[in-house]
Amino acid sequence: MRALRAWIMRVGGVLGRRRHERDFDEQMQADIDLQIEDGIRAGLGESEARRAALVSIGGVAAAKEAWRDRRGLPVLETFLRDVLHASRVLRRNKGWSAVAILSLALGVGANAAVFSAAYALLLRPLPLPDAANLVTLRWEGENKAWTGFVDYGYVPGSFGSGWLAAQPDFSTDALRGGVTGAFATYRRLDSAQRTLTELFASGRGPTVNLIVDGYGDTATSQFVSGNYFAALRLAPAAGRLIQPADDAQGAPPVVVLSHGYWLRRFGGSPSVIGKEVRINAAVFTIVGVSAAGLPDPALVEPAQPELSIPIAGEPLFAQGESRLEQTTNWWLVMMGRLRPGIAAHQVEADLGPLYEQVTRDAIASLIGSLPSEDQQEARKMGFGTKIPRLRVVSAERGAYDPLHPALRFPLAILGILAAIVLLVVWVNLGNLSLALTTAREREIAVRRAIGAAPGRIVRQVLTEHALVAVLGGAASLGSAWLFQQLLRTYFAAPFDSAVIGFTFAIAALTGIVVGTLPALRASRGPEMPQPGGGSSRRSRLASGLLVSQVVLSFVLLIGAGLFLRTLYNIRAAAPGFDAERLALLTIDPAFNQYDDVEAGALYGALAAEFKTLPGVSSVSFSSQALVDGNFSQRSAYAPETAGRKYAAYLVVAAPDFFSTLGIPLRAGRVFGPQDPVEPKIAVINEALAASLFGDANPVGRRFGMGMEADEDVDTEIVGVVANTVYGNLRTSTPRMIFIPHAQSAGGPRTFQVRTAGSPADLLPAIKKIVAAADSSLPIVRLSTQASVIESQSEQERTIALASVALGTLTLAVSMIGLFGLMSYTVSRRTRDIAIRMALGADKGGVLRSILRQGLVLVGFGTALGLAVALLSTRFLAAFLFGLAPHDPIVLIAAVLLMLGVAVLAAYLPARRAASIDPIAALRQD
Amino acid sequence: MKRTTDVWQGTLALMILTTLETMGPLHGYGIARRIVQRSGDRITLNYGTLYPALLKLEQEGYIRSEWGSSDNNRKAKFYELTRAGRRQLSKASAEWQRTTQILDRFLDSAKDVS
Repeated sequence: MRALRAWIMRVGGVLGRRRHERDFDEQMQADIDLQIEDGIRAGLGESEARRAALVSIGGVAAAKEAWRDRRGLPVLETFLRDVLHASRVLRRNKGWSAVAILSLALGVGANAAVFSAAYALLLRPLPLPDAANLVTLRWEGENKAWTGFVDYGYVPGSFGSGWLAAQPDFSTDALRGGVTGAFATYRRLDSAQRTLTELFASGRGPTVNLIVDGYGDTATSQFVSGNYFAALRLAPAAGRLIQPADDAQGAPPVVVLSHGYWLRRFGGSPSVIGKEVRINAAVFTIVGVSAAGLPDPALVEPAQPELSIPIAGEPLFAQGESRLEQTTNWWLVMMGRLRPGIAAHQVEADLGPLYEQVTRDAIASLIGSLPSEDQQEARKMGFGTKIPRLRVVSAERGAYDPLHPALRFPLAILGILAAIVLLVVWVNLGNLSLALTTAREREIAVRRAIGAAPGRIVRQVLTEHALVAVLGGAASLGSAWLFQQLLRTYFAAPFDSAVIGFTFAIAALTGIVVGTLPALRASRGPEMPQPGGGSSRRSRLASGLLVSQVVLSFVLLIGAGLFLRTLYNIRAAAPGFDAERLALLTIDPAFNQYDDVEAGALYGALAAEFKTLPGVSSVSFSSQALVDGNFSQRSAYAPETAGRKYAAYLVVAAPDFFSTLGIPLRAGRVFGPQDPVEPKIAVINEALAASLFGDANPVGRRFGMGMEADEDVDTEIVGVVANTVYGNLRTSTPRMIFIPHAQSAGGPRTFQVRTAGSPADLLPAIKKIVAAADSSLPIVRLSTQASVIESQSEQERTIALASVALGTLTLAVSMIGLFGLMSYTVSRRTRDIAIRMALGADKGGVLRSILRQGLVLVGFGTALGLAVALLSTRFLAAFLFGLAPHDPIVLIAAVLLMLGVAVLAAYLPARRAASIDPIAALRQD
Repeated sequence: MKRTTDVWQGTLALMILTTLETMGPLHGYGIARRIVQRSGDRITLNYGTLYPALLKLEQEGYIRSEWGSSDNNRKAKFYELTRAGRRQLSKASAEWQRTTQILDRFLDSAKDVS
């Protein structure tokens, strides 16, 4: 207790130092006086008494020092003094501090954002109770037992060569971590397993139309086993969750809403619980809402699908045979909870043999049921030959496979980029602090001369860097958050204590890495001037750092230039149609069980209503909006092409499509209301016409188009239109085929409404018209053509923005590095320059020689950077548009910018060198 | 020349407390003079040792100080014992005596054996 009290007093003693010292001085003086008086009383002379008193005290300064050490905490005091001094140094060098802190914030922030993504995906335990005993079941090895797409069931007799060839290649383990198996496999494993308390399953469902009180809206869905929520130990946010009884055959259909969907659509109202609703055509009861913030433990999704439906309800959504009947259609992700004392490999031993047997039997029985022709085809493809093994791994951190290529690759790229940025920042800061310590050489020399120990100076310089690191760390939190927002589209991750801790750890590491070298150099004291002006080790190091900085920032500069031009080119790309003042509406009547005839009637009615809206001049519809990222590809061929096929994109269009979008007709005619279902006709664009028929007039000729298989050359070309873009702006002149709506009626349709006013203002009226026609029909998209196009260049904008910001900052920082190095050189060579000037060198000569010295370094770095850029930018080709990776304009502009800025940065120190007064300089030392 | 000894830190604290108990409030010089006298000039005490020791006791709360006037009306800083200081003194001196007794007995028995 006493020790603690004394310690607290000592910490307190650090404060109010001046007052305490005055008090102590007075006390000591009083004691000395008393002693002198005593001496006089004892018969000594006054001076003798004074001498005796001072001798017995044993040195005033030493006594005071000993008292001072005891009064406060010397370590704390020195530290505070160091921090105060460091903050004075930083304040005095505001520009230096700003650049140092800013570049630190950039480098550390980028790393923290990447870390947070990796941490959230791979390291953070799932926020579920007892997550430690969750396991996920995966397959491993070659897989020739899986025949189904998730969305397409097997239809007997459909094994054509084309269909089979279109199967994804499951023989590699590229899809590892995806689904575990078919529904039948789940049933067999669940009844046989003895190592898990629960085995549960979930599988992705279709996007559905949820109709509540006659109003429809689309929602994503998943199918879950009856024990899914119980096994995850989840509590409902409202109502109840799905129970095993709900997953029995013949049980009344129920649905559980995700918390997010409940809030978004129903405002969190408890009155929807117990409501009877329609999902597509089937009647369901909403029984509850799952908890907020729940991740999807099974699928690579940031959140749970909006609706959870028992697996037993799957047949209500099946088009054709239910997935529950398809024994080789793998669509369920299976997970389990370990029994106490059981390890994952024991589950593998328990279930592995059965898993392989069920899998082998299923594929064998499927092949056996095929017509003999298809059997041979399937065997030729290797089906049934490779059966994968079962792997059971911990799902504590989610079912994500850390080695899954879909995650590993982007994270690795991001990690490497972030590390490069950090490296640049370290080099920058290293050079900056070298320049700063050099500029303070005189100050440090003075401090050493008056007795500061080397350790004291090391501590001082380290404290300055620690202060920069702390300030930079704080700024990094801001930049980390910004970077995270940029990454949000790709990796959603929370901003939490782990991220904050990582940020400060990296910032502190940076402070230590960058601060150590200059600190040690400073403690060694100023170097002796070297005869003949030979370059010292320090300036060689600084030059090396500068060159590497120039190389890196030059490469980044070129990258920024390439991405900037790409963005500009994409923005400037002419779509080939009038994209302004066009409102878009996408609906899919199949969501509400319309057949093609009913859908056609709805389209006609909607188009007629839209035309009555004020300012609307024309209305049409097509299978998709142009430039919305969707692609529907066909192979086009004609007798004239001698067997060659051309990839072409398909649009199903209403007659007014071309006039509404403003696509000019080049030859023949467009569609009309009179076009019959047969014979097949099409309009093609000029690009396809040129590919198929060269310069010949295509109107009246026939061509064929197929997805994979050859179809007859049975489609007559009735017209040719000008080229436009298709799914995105990057493919500048895609070949295109337009076929009339009357000849291909199914699928979603997008309306284009041309208006004289602002298309955005039209959207509420359009929504009202759709609701009046059928309130239970969900609106898939309501937007404008301009914003659809804008969102297509989102990625380019992000990349361009990030690379320009990065390039500019590294350029600025390395130029400050150049400025610092040149200033250092000038200050070191002041004497040398003065002698030369005294011997008759003119100011211009001095100016030029200093400038030359700086530019030689930058030129060397630029040349090196050019070589690096030429070698590395070709990897960027896929991201560029309208220019080559070695685009001469970008290269020349980058070189000019680099050298121009370098001249500027070297000019100021050079001018100072030229204005040296030889007499004053020579007298100075 | 007389043999003198540098005083130990731990024993110095005990000496200061004892001095203040017997003499009442006293200034730094007075404490030093008294200690040196009581030792029969066998220990030397410089202020570089005394002042930190006083400060330590004050920080620990065993003594307190205030400015006052000496006998011949000189201003000086006076130290006096606190209640905690008195308790500490009796505890420490008892402990010290026990230690010296044990040590004496130990040294005596060593003498007997030889």
